[in-house]
This record gives sequence, structure tokens and C-alpha cells, in this order.
Amino acid sequence: MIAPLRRAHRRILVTLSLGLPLLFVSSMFVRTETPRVDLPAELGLGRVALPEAPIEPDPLLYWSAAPVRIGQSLPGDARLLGAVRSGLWLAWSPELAELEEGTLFVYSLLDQEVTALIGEGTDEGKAQ
Amino acid sequence: MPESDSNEFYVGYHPTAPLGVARRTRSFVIAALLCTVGLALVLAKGFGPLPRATFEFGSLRTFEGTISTTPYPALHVPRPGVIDGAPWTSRYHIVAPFKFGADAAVAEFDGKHVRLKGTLVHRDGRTMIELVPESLEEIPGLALSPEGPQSLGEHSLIGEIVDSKCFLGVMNPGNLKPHRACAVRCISGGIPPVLCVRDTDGRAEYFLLVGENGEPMNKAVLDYVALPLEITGEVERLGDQLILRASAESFRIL
Amino acid sequence: MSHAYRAVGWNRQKKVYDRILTLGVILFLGLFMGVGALLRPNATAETLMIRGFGAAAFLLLHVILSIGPLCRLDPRFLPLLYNRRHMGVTMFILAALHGLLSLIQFHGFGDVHPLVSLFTASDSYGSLAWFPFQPLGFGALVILFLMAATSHDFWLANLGAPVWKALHMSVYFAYALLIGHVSLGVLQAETSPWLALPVALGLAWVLGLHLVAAGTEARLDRDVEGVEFEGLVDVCAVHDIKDKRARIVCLDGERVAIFRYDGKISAVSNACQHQNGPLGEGRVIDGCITCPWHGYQYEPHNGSSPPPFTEKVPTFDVRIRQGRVLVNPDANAPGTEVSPALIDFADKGAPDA
Repeated sequence: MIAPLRRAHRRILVTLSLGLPLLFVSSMFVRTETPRVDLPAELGLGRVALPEAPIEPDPLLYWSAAPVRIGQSLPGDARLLGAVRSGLWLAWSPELAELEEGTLFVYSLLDQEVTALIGEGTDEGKAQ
Repeated sequence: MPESDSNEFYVGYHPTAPLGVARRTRSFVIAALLCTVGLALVLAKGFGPLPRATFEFGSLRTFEGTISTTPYPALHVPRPGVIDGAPWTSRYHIVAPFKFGADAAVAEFDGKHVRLKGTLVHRDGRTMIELVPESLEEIPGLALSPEGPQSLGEHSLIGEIVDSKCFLGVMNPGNLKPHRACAVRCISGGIPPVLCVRDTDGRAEYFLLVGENGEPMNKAVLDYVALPLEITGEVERLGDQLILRASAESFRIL
Repeated sequence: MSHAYRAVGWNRQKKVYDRILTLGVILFLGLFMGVGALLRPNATAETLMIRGFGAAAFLLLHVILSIGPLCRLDPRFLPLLYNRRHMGVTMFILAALHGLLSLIQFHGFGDVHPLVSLFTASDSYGSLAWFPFQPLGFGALVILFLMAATSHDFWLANLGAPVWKALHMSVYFAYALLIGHVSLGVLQAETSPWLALPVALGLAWVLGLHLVAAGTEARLDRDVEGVEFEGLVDVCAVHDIKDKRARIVCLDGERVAIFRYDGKISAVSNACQHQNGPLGEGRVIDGCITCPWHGYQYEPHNGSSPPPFTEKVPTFDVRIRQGRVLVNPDANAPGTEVSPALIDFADKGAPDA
């Protein structure tokens, strides 16, 4: 009465017992990851160490001779040095190393406020 | 066969189960619930960390700037305090709602000074605007001529093609195989494709993908989305945006 | 057992079952999504829900697939089987939520119809690493839907047992598709062993349980080597069978349940007409053979459910000769009346159990 059904069940079980472990193990073996490679130096990406990666929209790196506090608007003497990303990568101006003492800070153009300070002078968070 | 010597016999429509049956079943249920709790915690922990990527859903901002449409629609906003050498406009890519590019919506505003409303999508210093199409209007003001491209030579880069809208914040995670189909849908609909390259410290740089003649690459890249790729082409800098000009024939799947 | 159509024949056992099931589901979803949101604060709500519903459905499927073999190994697990279909429908609902959210999230609002995009957006069908895993999930969901939609006995009666059973056996095909969906999907991107290991253990558990149960069942599937007498086969001694219980033997490849009750012996097919439950592992209660799975009943002398119920099972001719039970291996049509063999004192042999 149910012998054919049980035979089918048996065949299914044998197939799954062989096939599924094979499928699972194979799929673990074929996992790929995109390799990580350092970018060529010619692309001209400089670096400044930041406390943490930017979370505000359109963070820009500025310099000002005057002291700056977080949350304030852009100081009148602020000079744009470039855009901030990945906490470290920065598209910067080649004149950064020549700046006199002042404050490096991050300013969000869209939120219109200073969001992070890098250092009071050029000693801290030196460009690499 | 489970030949039980016990006189116990379970009948589902009786009010209660016999004691031995109830005990065995209860043990299983307790074990299963403990496994459920354990598994929920293990799986919650097992999924990998996610970066901060923001989609300001439900929040509209107003923007003013100049529209450019090549290679992909963008709004240019002047930056204060510019000194020589630093890119002097911020460039925000513009996309339409859902999985569509904004090419049609901005076409007639190319080179014009506009006001528009939109929702911000941003991640790691990159910013994009999801446009409210009917809000786009030309306004009086000086239209900017944004920086021209600066060639940085031919390079081979290794990375993954993602759709810029999901990746920058509309979905998290917005890359790799599980997201691949969505990325294809987005890129096919006009969202700019981007090559995401990671260095050995895990930091990402993004290269906007265009064809050899600077044309949009949406259809050409569809078969390569999410795959580990090496692309050889000319790298250009357009303001703060790095661009990779290549033909799909140079794409090599790793 | 229902004579008239009732959506669910509620009773206390089913209510307890469903309450515990609901508790388990809420516990899992709450913990997974809650802890997930704490550990991964940047995850979007849709991501947590898609992962949560999918994981919950997959876990529940493992529980469901465990029940069958567990009950073969120990009948004290039978309460888990009694209302298993509610678990199946619950699992389908969770899977459908996962599937629907995924379809909208990944394929909706784009330039192509979501169901077309599902099969064409990612079409590396020739690669294992990049094999489109979402169509595998969709295939499994279709099977689970058909099973959930036909889970009521109404469908069993109208589709007929062979069609219904074949459809519900395809749960194994759904399980295979889901192993593929998970292995070739999320596990390609998420490389933590904390995800891969539970999947591997779940697979090993389900297959392992089935293989162990299969091993114990194999003994009973050997045809009884009885002496033939006038076309009947000697299957056992009368005293081998306890009162109100049965002895199961294999004749011509089919299992036959031989019941002893009220000083009589009758033989019916071991397979209950409802869900093919093992009648021979049941009891005679109130004069009826009672199936251990869902409590369906049959009169021993004719294999028919007492009125107003209409289920019938095949019967077998029996005789008792010198304390031995003889059975005709050719089954009678379901519901055929067969006079029970009477046990007289001389046949009893060893005292009743």
C-alpha cells in the first residue's frame, strides 16, 4: 500500500545525504573575497590622522589661525585644504606642510558647523 | 520500531498526555527553546560589522548650486575659504527616487544655477542627493564652471562594482553577493556605478566608472557587478571625485 | 476525523502546542532583531527583518524535519507530531515574510518587474560561487506555499492521498533548495563561522536523525519467513501479541498490523488512511484500533472508521492454527469485512500479558 512511497522516501534520503553535504562544503570552498591592494602613489592621496571616520555629510578639512570649537560656524580666516574620507584619506592641498601654527578642523558644508578638531598646532596629527 | 513496553498511549484529542510522554516532550521543548535563544544570539553576533552609511529618509533639505550632467548628474556647490590647489566645489551626485538615475529630470538644467529639494545619502565623506524631481527650478545666480578633469595616468585597479546609491547609505549592507541583484537593478535604472577599491588597511576609495569616451557605463557593467574585478583604464580627478575611464573589455574577473 | 469541514478542530493539546510555538517564534525574532540592532547599530530595519524572518523560518524547518525521525525512535515525542502542520504553516508565514520583504527590497521599484528581475538580475547560472541564490529561495517558497495551502485534511480528501503525499514529500526538495539558498547566498558574503557552523550542524542533525531512524526501521522491513499453509503465512505465535496491542510483520513488502483484542485476532494494513501513521503501534481503545499519530480509529474486523467517519484501510484474512497466527498476504480491498480469528484456551499458549 505504501511501499512505493517509502521507496521514494528512501531514495530522497540517500540523494540528500550525499548531495547536500557536498553542496554545502563546495559552496564554502568557492567563497571569494575581493583582494585588497594599496593604491598607486601617483593618485596623490595624502593623509591626515583623524580621531574617527567622518559621519557628517560633506566633511571638509580647514585650517584657521584662531582657536576653533566644535559646533561653531566657519571662522572668517578658514582656509580649505580638501575633502575628508575614511578617517584617514584626504585629498589635500600641497601647501599643508607650510602652514603656520593654527587649528586643523573638519567642517561639514551641509550641516554648516565644525564637527571635529585635529590639533591646536601643526605638531599634532601631522600630515604623512 | 519504537516498541514501548509502557502502557502509556498518547491521543492528541484527549485533554492531557500520559506522564512519561509529557515529560519526554517537555524535555524536548525546553531543549528546543534553549537552542532557539542560543541560536538567536549566535546568529545576531555572526553577521559581520556594518559601516556607518546614512540615508536621511523622511528628511528633506534644500540645496542651491549648479547642475552638470556629465558623466552623471551632479550638483556643484561652492566651498568657502578656497586656496590654490584644493578642489573648490563640492560635488553631490543626484539620483531620482527608488532605483533610477536623475538624467531625465536634470537634462534641461545642465549648466544652470538651480534650487532643489532632496534627501541626503552619505557615507565616509561622499554625499549624494535623492532628488524630489518636481522641486528642481532654475534661480538667478552665478552658475559655476566646475573643475575640469585632470588625468592621473593609466592604472589597473582591483575592486568591486557597486551602485552608488545603495552603497552610500540607502541599504546596509549595500554590496557583495546578497545585494548583487539590487545593485544590478539600480545601475540598470541609471544610478552611477562605482568601483570600490580597498587598500590593505581596509580603507575604501571610490572610482566613478565611465566608458573610454567618458560616456555612462550603466548597461556595460551589469554582468560584472559585485564580482572581484581588475579594471585597467585611465584615472582622472574631477574635483574630489576619482574617475576610471575604461571599456568593459578591460574588465578581468579575478 | 472531521465529518464536516472545520478550519481547525481545536482542543487543549493543539492550544498548548500553538502557544509554545508562538512563544518560540517571538523569542527568536525579538532576540535576533533586538540583539542584532544593538550589535550592529548601522543595520537598517529592513535588513534585520529580512535576516530575522529568514533565519526563523529556516530554524523552524529543522525542528519540523526532526519530528518524523524522532517519533520513529521514541513514541514519547508523538505530541510534537500531532499538530506539526501548524508548525509548517507558521514556518511558511515566516518564509513568506522574508521572501516578500526581499523581493520588494532588492527587486522592487526598479526598471523591470520584480518577478522578472528575480530570475534575470543575477544570471550567473554557470558558476557555483555566483549561482543566483534567490531563485532557489523562491522555488522553496512555492513548495512551502503549496504545502501550507493544502495542509488541511480537506485537501487530503479532495486531492487524494497519493497526490497529497507526493506534494508533502516535496518538503525535502524545499529543504535542499534552502540549503542551496543559504550556502550560495548569505554564506558567500558573511564569512563568520558563527553562521556557517549552525547551518552545517543543522544539516548534520536532520540527515543524521533520518539515517539513524532508517537504520532502526530496516529490521522491520524484512519479510517474515513464515511457513506457508493453504496460502496463508505463519507470522507469529498468539502469545507474541499483547492484548489490545498489535504485532507488525512485513508481508510481500508491506507492513501488516495484527491486533489482539477481546479474545480475537484481526489483521489490517499498518498504514493509517489519514497520514500513513503506523496503526500497529497504536492501541485498541473502545473496541477500535487507534492510530498513534492523530488518533484516527478503525474497527478491527472491517478496517472501517466507525460512523459517521469514512476512512477505510485494507484488511487481511487471518486464522489461528495450533497457537500460531496465519495471515493471507493478499490484502482485501479497504473496508472489507473479515471474520476475526477466535482465540480459544488451547491457542493462548503463554499467559496473556
